[in-house]
Amino acid sequence: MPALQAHDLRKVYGHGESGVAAVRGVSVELMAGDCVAVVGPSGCGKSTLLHLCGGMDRPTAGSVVVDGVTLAGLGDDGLTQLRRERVGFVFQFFNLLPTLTLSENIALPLLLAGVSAGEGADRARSCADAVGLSHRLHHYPSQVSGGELQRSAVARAVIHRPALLIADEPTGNLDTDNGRRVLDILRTLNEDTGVAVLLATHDQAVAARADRILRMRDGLVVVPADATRAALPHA
Amino acid sequence: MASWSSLPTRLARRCLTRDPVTLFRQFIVRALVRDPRRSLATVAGLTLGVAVVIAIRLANAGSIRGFEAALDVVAGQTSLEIVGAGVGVPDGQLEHLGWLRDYGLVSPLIARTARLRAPDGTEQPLQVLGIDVLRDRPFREYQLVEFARGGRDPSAQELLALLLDSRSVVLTERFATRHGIELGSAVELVIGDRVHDALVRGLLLDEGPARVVDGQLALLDVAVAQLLFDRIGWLDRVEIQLHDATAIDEAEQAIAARLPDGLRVQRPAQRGRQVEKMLAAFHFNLTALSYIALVVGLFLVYNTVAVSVISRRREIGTLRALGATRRRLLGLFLGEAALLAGLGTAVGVPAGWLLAQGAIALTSTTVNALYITSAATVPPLAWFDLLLAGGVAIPLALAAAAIPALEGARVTPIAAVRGADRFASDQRQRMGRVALVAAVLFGLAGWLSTLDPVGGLPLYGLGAALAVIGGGAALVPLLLTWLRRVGRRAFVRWFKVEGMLAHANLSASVGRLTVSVAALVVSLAMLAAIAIMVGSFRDTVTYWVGQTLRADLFVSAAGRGPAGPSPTISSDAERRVAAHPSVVAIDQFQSVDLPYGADGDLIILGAGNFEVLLEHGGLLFKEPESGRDAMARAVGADAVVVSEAFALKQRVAVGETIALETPQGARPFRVEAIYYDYSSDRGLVVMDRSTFERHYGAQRPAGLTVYLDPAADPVTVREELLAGLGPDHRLFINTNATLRAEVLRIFDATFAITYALEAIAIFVAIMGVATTLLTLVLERREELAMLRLVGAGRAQIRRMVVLEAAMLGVVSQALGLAVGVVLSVILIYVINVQSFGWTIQFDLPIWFLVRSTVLVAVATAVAGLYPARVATGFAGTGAR
Repeated sequence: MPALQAHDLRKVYGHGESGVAAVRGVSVELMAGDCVAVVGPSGCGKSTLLHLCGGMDRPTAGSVVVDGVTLAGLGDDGLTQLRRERVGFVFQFFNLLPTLTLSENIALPLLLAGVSAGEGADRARSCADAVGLSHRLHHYPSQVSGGELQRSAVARAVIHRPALLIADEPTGNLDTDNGRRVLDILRTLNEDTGVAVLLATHDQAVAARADRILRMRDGLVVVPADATRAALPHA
Repeated sequence: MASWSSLPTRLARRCLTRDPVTLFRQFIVRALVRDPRRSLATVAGLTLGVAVVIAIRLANAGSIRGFEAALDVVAGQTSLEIVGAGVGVPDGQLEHLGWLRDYGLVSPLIARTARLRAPDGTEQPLQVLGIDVLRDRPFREYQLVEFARGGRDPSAQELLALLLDSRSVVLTERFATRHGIELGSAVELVIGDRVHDALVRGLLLDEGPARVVDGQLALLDVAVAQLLFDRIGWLDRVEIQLHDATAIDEAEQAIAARLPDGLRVQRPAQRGRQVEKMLAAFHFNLTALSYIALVVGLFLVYNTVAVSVISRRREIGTLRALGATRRRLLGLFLGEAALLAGLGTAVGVPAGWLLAQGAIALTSTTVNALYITSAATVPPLAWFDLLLAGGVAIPLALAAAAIPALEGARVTPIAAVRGADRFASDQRQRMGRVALVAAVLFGLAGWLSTLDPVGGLPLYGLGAALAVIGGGAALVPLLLTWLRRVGRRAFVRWFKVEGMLAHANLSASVGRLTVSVAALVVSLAMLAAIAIMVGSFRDTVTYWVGQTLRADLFVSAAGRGPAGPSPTISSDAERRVAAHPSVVAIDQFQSVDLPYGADGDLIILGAGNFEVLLEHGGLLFKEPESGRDAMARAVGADAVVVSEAFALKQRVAVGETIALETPQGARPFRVEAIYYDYSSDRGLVVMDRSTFERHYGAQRPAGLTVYLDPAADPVTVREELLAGLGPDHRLFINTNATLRAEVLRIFDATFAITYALEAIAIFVAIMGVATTLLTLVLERREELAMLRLVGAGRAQIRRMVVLEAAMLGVVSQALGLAVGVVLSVILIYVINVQSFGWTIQFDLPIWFLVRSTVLVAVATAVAGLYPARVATGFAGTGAR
């Protein structure tokens, strides 16, 4: 079963003549274990595509199926449940809650799903181990480095074992070494757990770490992901 | 940042140039219009605060306005008046006062109240003037309808002819029309317990004095009035209209020097001043309470400006980057506060007038029961009210807005672009200094509590209360910090992930929350203190009533008021009551108002049958311990027992001698005992009836306290007495049970306005909590969006914010209760004693406080619903 099936997605902001089409008929499919990079200039619709695929926003037209669940039929609660159980998110600016420790931040999706605090803390500890943060569990976000913040965000994104991981410029706010380390972690998770990764980036080097590249311009795919499958070596 | 991206560069240029008004309109006014709910909530809070202040001012003024209006009617053109000691001016003195004519025209007067039974079946109160027709005309303008239509004034002889008949009465045209009374028709005048047949012989035109008391005025001949009011041989006062009104000071001094003992000269306005003084403490306490709502309302201004600053940090940063000075930004945010306060004032002042209609109804029960009987009406709004409201609200609003406005002005372009680290900034709490401030304020409160009142007003006591409130507010950051340290585990255990998030959010916002929580703490502390004080007071009064109201029946005449001449009970009625076979003993009670001391405080001089009281009554003595023995010593002697309020206010101790004015001049009376009394805060001096009659002459009693055979049923005896008295006597007979119920009814009515004012303050404070939460929600919109992304449902976000609100309520209530208990001690033992002179036994109304805690938690949780709704809206793509 595909982790993500997006077909002919369209997103128009505003109405009528003043409406702006951010995505104009994009299709993409990710199987478990796939890693696809979306590249293109600013304003080409990368982030919008990720938001639509992750159930953060609703398309104007087209369909999205995540891990066998069709998003079109879901209400707000359904989308929330989908994000909580089947999708993980990593963003450029980390987006950790400054008022929670790293352990609590990592465990948050589980806690929101009703898992007990004790079990959440246990799972957070093992996820933190996996990203090399076991020594920082009780620190607040303001007390750790940018690389550690993003590794925490990655741990939070996968703690609930999602089928799809959405990463929007995951290295965009990191130096080269930290960026590489985060990418290493993403690829390892991708290969070890089979989570499908859809990441958006400006950075060609980052894109090169993906299995496939989907190039976008003006809301359209100019080079489909399948075209790049054979050309790219796995990391 | 859609709002900023839409800001045209024109705006940026404006801020660099000279057009602050345009910038204010574009940057502040548009933002207020864009967020109408928050703007309206702030203006509504301020409106309520201003309205309460104005309402209490108008209600206070209105409560004595009716009295003063009546005073004006009676005074007319009178320059000075001669009054006697308590019981009036003896008729016989007049012939020795012929020299008064050297100074001006002289006229005797009886001024009393009566009731008139109209043909429409209603019974109406009336101000009755007993006048000497031949002498009174220059004093008051009377236009009689029948003569006015003929285009001429009545001659003195014609007026004399009108009133000479002992059944004649002159009413006002307004009153007659309203109640269907025609010239020449028969009416019934109820005076004391007697009903007199009267004929309406004239109607006063609806103008001048006839209008002032809404037409409730009647004229009788002075001799007839003396007869009907049991005042034969006495006048209420003698009025003087000076030949030279400009030489009033000299005339007053000269007349005072020549008057015999027992008489005084005063200006008519003096009586108004006495009433104002009597009510001063009551009005002062209400005014102080009314300002709490306004102060709490100002916290809303703080919050609104804080939201303004927080939600637009990037815009502010951009303006700064484009060259806007800090001073200009400060001006913009202070201008926002001034605009909100101006709107609150503009709406609050007329709203205050409307609110005053309700407030005066609530206060008039107390004023009528304890001070003066008068028709209370709300005076019209004056420019002074607008100036007062604006002069108080706008500067205070600017002060409240100064902190967030300065914060806004201090935003740097870099900080705005990067986003400020809220969590880090809130860590900078200087707890040591805060604790020191709290300790100093509590110490100050302790010291101020030991100081004496100023001019009968508890100014230092109020200062002590303010210091306790300030100390309590200073404890808020300490409490929130303590909660941050210790509460987390409990919150997680009780409320799961929502509890963890709510606790974390509140812990991170101690600085932001302090002001709002302090406002709520202040309001709740006041509520707790007032509840404890009123509860304690009620218990004390209930106990006092149980101990002192021992008689079975209480008989009084119709129209009896708390001040001024009381209607009397006729000897015939008294005889009939005494003749009932179940009646064991009767105490005839008499009371008159008497000026006392150098300040002329209007005290109550009472006379009762001490032997009956000793055998059947139950006065509670404060000192000496053997109060009954002391009272026994006062029987027939020149000795008195005094109420606690009198002893405290006049600084009189047992064994001392006080000087009381009598018709023969000031006479010394030994104070034998001090007793507890809660019926009046004016101070009572009570002497044995035989002593009273020896000094003040025989007077009909104003009330009868009746003790029955223990086997008799008071309700049955009451019915038998009323039946026996027949329609010719109008007496009120209360049984012990109904009088106790009446006492507690008046008590509860007295404090109804207190609770009403507090309820408004708490409502405004809870609005403050709601706007603070809104501030926090706006501040962490990206975090909330993130929460939604990682799987938090709308219901979870909503629960989290509502939980935060409820937590704030519970924390505020906890501290509010603690501060409230301290405050209640000051209210009970300092402010109450200094204002009213009453001892109240401290009692904690546990169940009320438990109920109010639950109510506050629920109310604040409900107040959190709107911020919660806003919080659930930050879903989806807010994260970057």
